Amino acid sequence: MKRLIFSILLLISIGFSAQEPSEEFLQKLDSLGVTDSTAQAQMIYNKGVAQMESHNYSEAITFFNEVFNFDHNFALAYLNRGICFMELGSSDKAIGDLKTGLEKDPKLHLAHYEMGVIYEKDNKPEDAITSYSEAIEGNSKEAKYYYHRGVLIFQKAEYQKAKDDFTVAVSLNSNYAYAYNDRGSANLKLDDLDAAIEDYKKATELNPKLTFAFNNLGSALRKKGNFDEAVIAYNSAVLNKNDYYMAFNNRGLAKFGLKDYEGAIKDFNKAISLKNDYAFAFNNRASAYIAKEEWDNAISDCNKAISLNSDYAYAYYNRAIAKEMKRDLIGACADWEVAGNLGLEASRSFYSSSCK
Amino acid sequence: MKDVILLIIILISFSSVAQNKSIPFDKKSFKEEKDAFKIAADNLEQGDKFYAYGLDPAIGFSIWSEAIPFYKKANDFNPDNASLNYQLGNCYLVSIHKSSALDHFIHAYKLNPAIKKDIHYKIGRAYQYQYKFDKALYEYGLFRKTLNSDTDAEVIVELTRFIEQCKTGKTLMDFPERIWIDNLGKHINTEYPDYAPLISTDESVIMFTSRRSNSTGGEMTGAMYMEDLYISEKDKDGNWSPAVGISEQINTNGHDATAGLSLDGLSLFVYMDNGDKGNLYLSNKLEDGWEKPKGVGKNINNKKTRETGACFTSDKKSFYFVSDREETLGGTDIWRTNWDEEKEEWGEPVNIGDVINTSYDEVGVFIHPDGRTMYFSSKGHKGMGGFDIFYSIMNDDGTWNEPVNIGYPVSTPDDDVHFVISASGKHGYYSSFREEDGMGEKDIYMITFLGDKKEPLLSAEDNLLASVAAPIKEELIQPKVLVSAKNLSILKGLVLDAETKKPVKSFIDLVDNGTQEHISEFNNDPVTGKFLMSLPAGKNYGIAAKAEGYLFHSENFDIPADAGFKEYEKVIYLNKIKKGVSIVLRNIFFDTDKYSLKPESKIELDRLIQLLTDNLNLRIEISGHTDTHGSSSYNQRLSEDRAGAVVDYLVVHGFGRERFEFKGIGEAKPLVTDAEREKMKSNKDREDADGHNRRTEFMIID
Repeated sequence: MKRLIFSILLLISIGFSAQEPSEEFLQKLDSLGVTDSTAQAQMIYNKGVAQMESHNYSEAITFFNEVFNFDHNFALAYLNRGICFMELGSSDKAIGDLKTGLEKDPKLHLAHYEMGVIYEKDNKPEDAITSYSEAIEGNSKEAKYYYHRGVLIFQKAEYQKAKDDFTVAVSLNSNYAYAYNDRGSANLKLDDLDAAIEDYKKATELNPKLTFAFNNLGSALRKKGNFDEAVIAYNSAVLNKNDYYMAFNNRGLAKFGLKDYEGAIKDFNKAISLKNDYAFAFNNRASAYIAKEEWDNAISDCNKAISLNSDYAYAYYNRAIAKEMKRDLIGACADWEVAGNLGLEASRSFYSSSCK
Repeated sequence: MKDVILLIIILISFSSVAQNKSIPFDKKSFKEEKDAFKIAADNLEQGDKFYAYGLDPAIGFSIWSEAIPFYKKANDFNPDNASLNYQLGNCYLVSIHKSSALDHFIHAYKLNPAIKKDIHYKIGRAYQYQYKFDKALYEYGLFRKTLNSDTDAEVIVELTRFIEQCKTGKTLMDFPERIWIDNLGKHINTEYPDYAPLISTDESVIMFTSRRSNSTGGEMTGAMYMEDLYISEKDKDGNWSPAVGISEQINTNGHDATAGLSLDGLSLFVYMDNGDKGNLYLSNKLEDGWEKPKGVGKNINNKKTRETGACFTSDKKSFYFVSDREETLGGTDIWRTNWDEEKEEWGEPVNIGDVINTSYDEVGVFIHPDGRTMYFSSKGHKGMGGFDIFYSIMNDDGTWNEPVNIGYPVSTPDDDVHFVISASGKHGYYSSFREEDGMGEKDIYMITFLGDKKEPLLSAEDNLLASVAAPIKEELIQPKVLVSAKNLSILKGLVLDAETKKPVKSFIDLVDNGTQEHISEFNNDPVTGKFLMSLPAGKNYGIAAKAEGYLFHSENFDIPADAGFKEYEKVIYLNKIKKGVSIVLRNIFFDTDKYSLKPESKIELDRLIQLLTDNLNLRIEISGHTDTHGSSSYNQRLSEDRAGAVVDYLVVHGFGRERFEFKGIGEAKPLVTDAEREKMKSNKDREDADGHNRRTEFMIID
């Protein structure tokens, strides 16, 4: 307990800087009964923290190593050395330190959290979820613990559970724009479009620079069929970030929904100009050409999309539509067969009904 | 300023008068063009003669078409005569060039708004033929105001019908069918009228009616040659051969027209006009070609009525036909007659009822090979004008559902008749007059149905998670696919001599193995050996071919319930009856692991009994075969018991045991070896192989 108070006092007094503590501060430590070796450890620890702040992780590790010469039970030093190892890409060493830190101080919930971060980075989502859960057990009032667990659960496609975590996160931190965005996405996946739109709007209100939240808002509106409003949301996204190719592609989709095929093509063009290997945009532009009955242009774009992604079932399917309308039934059937083999059920049906 | 306004009013009224003045066809009006006037006046007189004929109910308006070339020349000379424009409009309105009527009616009206009381009606009709339904409705509205509810009741009824047609037309055009329409080309179509196509189930043969110049006898009615039937076959590249007269047996000097074709393509209904109102005749395809058509019998044909289109049901035990006989609900109706086995004649026809038939004309009946869908043309159901094409589906209890208009652009404001559709439902054939790709008069076209519009698929991706940089792909539009392919299978086959590989005239028996019902008994094409029939899906079938002097051949096959439309091809080789020849009895079934015969074996065993009865000196050996599952000794015993069970059955049915030998072969002579079986990709193939190996054979030993 004394060590914790000491650490806090130290951090407050020096503000995570590399400055030496003042005489007055040291006297205060004496009055608390802190021994010299403990004070020494704290001093060195502080230097390590300062190096961490400057992203000098190797140097920080050297200081933390020295800390243990004076106090081998210094849990925070293990925690921070673990973080340094993590930053340097040594996950195993990092996990080892964090576990040691937890042995020294089982209440060090931050160590669980950091372990979660490492596991997440190392693509061990289940371990990460366990760590975040343990962090939550240690401190149920920390919003980011819930948020990070929610993200991993979302990626497991357990959207309701993810939504629950995001909900706790925003209840603990009502300014948590990321959590609002992600809860919006959980709602989107749960087909609760109104709730999704509300969450995305909240995220953009809290942080008007949250470009992807504008994009996501656009997508939720587009899904709801509010193509006009979707275009406005995408406009905000591309105003924030004028090379946001995804938002241009998505705005093209909204314009497609408005039957503004020329406008859609312009947006797909822009997306392609920003990312010239963007197979989606080529396929989508082909769809707009199909809507305009410009079959040759559609085939050309599908060819490009397929050359970029030979497993892109939609592009084969769309090319088949254009080929059929050009009365190339043999070509259309060949494409429907490929798309069907790639798992596109609709294509299988067309192949069965039109080609056999 | 006042002067300017006055001047404008004068100019407007002057130009209006100048525009609207009808120039009479008299010498005074053309003093400077005496010679040209004389020619024009002669043409007008000639045209007037035809026009007058048309007013005679005995001749009818259709003769007005003949006036067009004369009126046109007269109109070229004097385009501003209101009466001539009105009459020319009328002539066009009954011709194949209906779209030309509108300009003449409008011009007649401008020249003289009081030209005729029905001018708005005529303009409305012309607009309707041009698919300009809103304008037609407007003109009909103007005409309606001129009518008196009491004295013009009949006209009002007719007008109301046209108004409904315009409304229907608008609706149908809002949801056009996605189709391609292709002229069948110069090997089929000519500058003369070519129409009433009939298509074989596999679309390999087309028959149709034509009034071309090489019509038998070369006689003409009016400006047209008499009707004859023509036939064309598709080559292996899918091209139609040049059409030729179908047969000297069928084509006569009079009107001979296509009326209907059986599913197997071997029985042809012919419409013949032998001095009466026109009746139905039937011709069958024999070894030496089509036989001379015979009338379909007194219950169907008579001199007072006219029977035109006809269509067999798939089993040929009934047919539908068109007639204006008594008890019609109005005009021509569709009737059904069944073959009377006892009297050996077509039975008394039955009107198929008011769901299909209306107080107006129904014609052009065609039953799809699925046996449940009827296509026909009607003037009485909700259409966009003239005859439209409808279909109706039969319920399980034999009643018909409310007919559905096949839709625009197949149905048009003009007459759409003689529509037939392929077994797959993908192609329709009909005759139409199309200025853009026609060869002169009516031509035969193939419609390709593209089905519902296929929406393109788009892809989206978003950064759904704030802390995860990788985008999440989202596939936008998941299409709903409603494939409306017919759940129907066509069995195409060929019966050949096993040694010479030449076609064998044979009798084919098709049985539903589930119900033991003989679904169809028919002959193949005696010349080509081909046969063809439609089969509902979801059943196991047994098929047997018999021919004189040959051992019969049988097999069974499944058609899955979800097969959609499929064509199966089967070649059957028949062996001549002689010592040492053996055949497989595919339709003898035993209980699993037992030698008791299943009831569904009866039909096959009866065939064997018939063979033994027909050939009293025949001695045969029955052998049993198993698959390779189980021990060899078990299979040996089982196969012997099963062969013995077949012999016992035959003995019980009166044959001496001395005519039979039997033995069990067990698994020793598989048709599909284990090695071949193991190479098969699917369990289904392996199960089929086992089924092939489990069999009963017989061999002639004396």
